Amino acid sequence: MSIFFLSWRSIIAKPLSSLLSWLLLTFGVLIVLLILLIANGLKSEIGKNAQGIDLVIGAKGSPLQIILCNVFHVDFPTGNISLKEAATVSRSRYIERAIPVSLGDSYRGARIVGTTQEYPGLYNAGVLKGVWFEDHMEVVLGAGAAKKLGLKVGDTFESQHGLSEDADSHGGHPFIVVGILESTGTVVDQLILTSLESIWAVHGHDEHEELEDSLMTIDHLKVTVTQEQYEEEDITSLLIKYRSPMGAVMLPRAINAESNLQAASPAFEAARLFNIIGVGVEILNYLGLLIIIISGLSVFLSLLNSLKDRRYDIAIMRSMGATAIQIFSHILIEGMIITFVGVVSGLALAHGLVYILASNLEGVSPESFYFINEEWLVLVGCVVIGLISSIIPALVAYRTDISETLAKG
Amino acid sequence: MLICKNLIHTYKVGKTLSYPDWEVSQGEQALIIGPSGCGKTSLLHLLSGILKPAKDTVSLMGTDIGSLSQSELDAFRGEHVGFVFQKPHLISALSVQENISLAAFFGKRKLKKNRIEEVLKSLAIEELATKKIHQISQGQAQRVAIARAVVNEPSIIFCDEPTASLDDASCDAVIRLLIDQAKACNASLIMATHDQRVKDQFSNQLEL
Repeated sequence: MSIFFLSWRSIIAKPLSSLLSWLLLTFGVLIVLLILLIANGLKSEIGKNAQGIDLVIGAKGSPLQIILCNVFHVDFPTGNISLKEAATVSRSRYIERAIPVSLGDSYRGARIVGTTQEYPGLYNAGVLKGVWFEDHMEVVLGAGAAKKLGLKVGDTFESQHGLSEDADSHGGHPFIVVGILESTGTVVDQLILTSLESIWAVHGHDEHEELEDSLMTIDHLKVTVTQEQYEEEDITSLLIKYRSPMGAVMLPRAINAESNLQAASPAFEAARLFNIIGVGVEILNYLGLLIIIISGLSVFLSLLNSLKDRRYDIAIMRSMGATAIQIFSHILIEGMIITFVGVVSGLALAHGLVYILASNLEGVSPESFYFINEEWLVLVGCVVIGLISSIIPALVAYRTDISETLAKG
Repeated sequence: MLICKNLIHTYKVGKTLSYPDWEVSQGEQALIIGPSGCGKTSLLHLLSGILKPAKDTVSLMGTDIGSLSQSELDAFRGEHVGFVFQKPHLISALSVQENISLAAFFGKRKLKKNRIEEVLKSLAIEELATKKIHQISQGQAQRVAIARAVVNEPSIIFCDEPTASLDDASCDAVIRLLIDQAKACNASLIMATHDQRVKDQFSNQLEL
């Protein structure tokens, strides 16, 4: 027998009102934490996937779309830019590094990205099995893509035109898997990487005999192409890293004003996206807070209400030798147990849901969702609300006039 | 054992009531009898320390309970005093057994193994030990309340109208049980009642 046991037993004895308080608190905590965790996870995912990319240069269109498509691989391309234009613009002295990206094909939902070896380098993705792509039609798979597609080194497949799973396949141009990348927890895990030339080859451009003297190297893009490819081929975008902060000031303005190209900054577009969804997030946050406060009120009312029936119980306990402090603790602990259980189950539920959500999202690694600082703040806040809700009923119980209560029988 | 001298009770509304001097010796059964509203319950509360009496007015087992602090008084009650009220008022969240061990917990008494079983058996309700309070009858609940009062082997047991709502047969049985239980732990028994049926069983009577 202990005060804790006594409190626990009286919670069990009124299951419905305890359940209500518990559910309210659980859902309040769940909503607030879910929003907190998702917003935080989203920010860290964006930061991880946009690392080393200061600017994306693509065809004219929505800058947000350019970012979503070329950095996060979720939206469709805005169009193509010619290799020649890309080569020209990338010669700028503000650019330290430019990585060409060519999109548009996929295989069973995994996007095929024509690029250079610098691209996986952005995410420090080394080859786990096999080798890098060198020749035409060789591909390297991201760890997640390899697992999802069930492909291993040496397997071949035919790509599909477009980015949806039911797209038509390109006949006669099989890709061969030569390597699989290590898992990085970034978007590259879900991609199929190959060379620009392979993408061009699939799209039916006749492969002319490569004359040695017509080969040219575009140094700053680290690609070697024939004169004809240089004149005729397209890519989707360039991923830019500035040489100095001056680049951020000069380059986007120069590109957007003077050429057919469009420059978009991942940081800026991500911030804009957060701004757009920010209002909804805030409303949900207030809703969660409101539910937490209502749950505090429910604990308060349920305790206060139960005291009416328990006045005599309390007086009897006092007659048996219980001190006023013991009675105070009995009621306080009762409120705190409900609060604590509600907070813990809300916490567990929020993390569980985020884990399931993250596991089902491509390119998101669930281990990025750990405990964050704001979370402790929410939990401490809930405990404080529980404390405030229990302390008044506890005081009422503390001040019970035993003689009067017993005399009323 | 119990000595009460110059005891005055001041009600919250300002009315005062003075009680006659009285003594009860160890192991004796005594009755406080009088009509409803004459101050029996208040007297019982003053004698048992539920209400704090003035200094040097109530001496219980040689202790002047009027000079104890509130927490000392709580501890004193828990250690030496048992109560039986008109209604059993058991804690419905707990089982029969737990209700009884609650008295030991608050009285800070370490019970002998089997003590609860022993008490339940002496009241012929041992099969109720694990029952919930809402599963037992009113008569059984009254017995559990008696078990709760005597489990700590108190020096004195106070009863407030324990027979008021009982028929003649049950009334006799309860008085019998109370006297037997008090004798078993050599406790004094003080009963406040307006019930004339129990008058004959007590030699020491205080009429209010």
